Amino acid sequence: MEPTRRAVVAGAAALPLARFLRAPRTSAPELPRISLAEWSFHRAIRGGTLDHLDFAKTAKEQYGLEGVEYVNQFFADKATNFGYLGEMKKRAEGVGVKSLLIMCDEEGSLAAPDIKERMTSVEKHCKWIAAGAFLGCHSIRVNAYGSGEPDEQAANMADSLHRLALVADGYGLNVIVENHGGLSSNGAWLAGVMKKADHPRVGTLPDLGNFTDYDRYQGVTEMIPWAKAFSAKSYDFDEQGNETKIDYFRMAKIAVDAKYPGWVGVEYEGEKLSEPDGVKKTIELVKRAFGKALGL
Amino acid sequence: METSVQISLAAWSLHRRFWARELDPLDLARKAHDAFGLAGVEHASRFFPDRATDFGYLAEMRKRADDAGVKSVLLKVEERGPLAAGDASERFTAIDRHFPWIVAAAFLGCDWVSVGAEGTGVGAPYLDAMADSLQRLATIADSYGIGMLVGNRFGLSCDGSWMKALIAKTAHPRVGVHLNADNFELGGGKVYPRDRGLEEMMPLAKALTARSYAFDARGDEATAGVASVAKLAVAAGFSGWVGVEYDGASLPEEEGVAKTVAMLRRIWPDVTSTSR
Repeated sequence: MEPTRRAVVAGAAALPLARFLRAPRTSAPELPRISLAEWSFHRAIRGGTLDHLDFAKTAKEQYGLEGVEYVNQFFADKATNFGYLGEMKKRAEGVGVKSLLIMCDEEGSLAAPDIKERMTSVEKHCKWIAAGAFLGCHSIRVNAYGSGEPDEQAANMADSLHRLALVADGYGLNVIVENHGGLSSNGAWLAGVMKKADHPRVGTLPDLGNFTDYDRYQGVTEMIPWAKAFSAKSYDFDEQGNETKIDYFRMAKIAVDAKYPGWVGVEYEGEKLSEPDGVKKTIELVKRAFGKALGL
Repeated sequence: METSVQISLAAWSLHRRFWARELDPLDLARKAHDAFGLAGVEHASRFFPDRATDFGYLAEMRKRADDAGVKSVLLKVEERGPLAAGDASERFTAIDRHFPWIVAAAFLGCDWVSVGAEGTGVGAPYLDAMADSLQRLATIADSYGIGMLVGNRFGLSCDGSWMKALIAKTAHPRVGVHLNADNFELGGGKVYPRDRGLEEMMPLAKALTARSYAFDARGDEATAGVASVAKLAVAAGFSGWVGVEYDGASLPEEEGVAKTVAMLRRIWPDVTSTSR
């Protein structure tokens, strides 16, 4: 029997509605994926008790995490060594761990006033983009360091970021800026840099800890629209397992409200606990805080 | 008779095959070995222009070369922007756009990456700009364990005295000339004297490309003076790879390459013995 026009129209109209009604079930809120930032083990790695090459395995076997965030200081002279990078990649993939990003330090000042100095810094960062791409990362993290007036530094940083983004885009990578001291820990300034850099491959890495006299909740709120990674920094914990300086519940709500879609990287930096204990407590706290923010 | 010359195949020799998609760029090394008995290749970015950042593709290229026992000697980078641009921002963008090809060359196991000296400036600023770019690129290449060459392709880079000044000003131990024995067009219809250019640049050459067009009945290259190039190379103590770049139109590419290879093998011991 020929369907009536009305039935066809009704049927078509019902489709999006049915999809809408099903949506809450298929996209039920879930905890964010949790990754491990290598800085959490800076004492062990510097002390020689943990080999950088075994970091991914540690993340998986000791903490059940399936993503890692590398720190370039721990393989500083290996960015151009494909044999070494190949071993890193093989080991991470062998334990089912995804390499997410490389945090890059000590490669010059991307916001320097002198164009030649700035370009040298851009060129020094490029090898980490290639290394990150080879490892399967989504981003490299850079610092917004320089000198001069804030507006001038913002313009220079935006120029460097845009240039890095063009290189990174060729590799399918992002270039993200962390609040990491100086002007970069001023959320409003960094948001201004993001607007000026004006490239979808440019973003932020909000670190919950790295604010000096800037309000950390305001700072993370200002950075979160551009966030492609998220560092759950921790220093110390009270008896309930809450961070003593940072209200994780408030931070989780900021991320959830902004629909931040990425991984949450655990980065314990305290002195009182052992690194493994600090990491475990941070993982537990991230789960509780995001669980509450998501209404789980 | 053993010869002392190491001969590589320049990708451009087979450009008609590549353009017609009769030869896969991944198979350049295999072709060099199977068709011509050569153990080295010179890659050119133009034949895989969107693959510099594709490590999967590059790994396959490297594997096929390794399987064929062929060394990737150098990678020639083209059309990545003017490294001698007068405008600093434009020039730095060109450097950034060359970067992935340095990585690719290193990944393929090349000894050298070769760039051009295109620009918009003139005079001393042109030289300064190119020297700065070359120095920066050489620093990057060095970190990957390879050297940076600048080719005489067109314009000022075909002026041997300018090239000497450029290499001296760049002052980087891993910078040298990728000498094409037949590129001496200065632009505006002017041509730099070939023999003078070869003599000036040969001592700076780390790689040499012998271009060929046509052959006489004896099999000697008839127009580009390959025999005299060989003599100059030997006299200057050149010890690198000699790339074969057949660019003629009268023969099938394979035949032009084979004749050039045969000629180089035939004449190289001769020039070596006569120069002793």
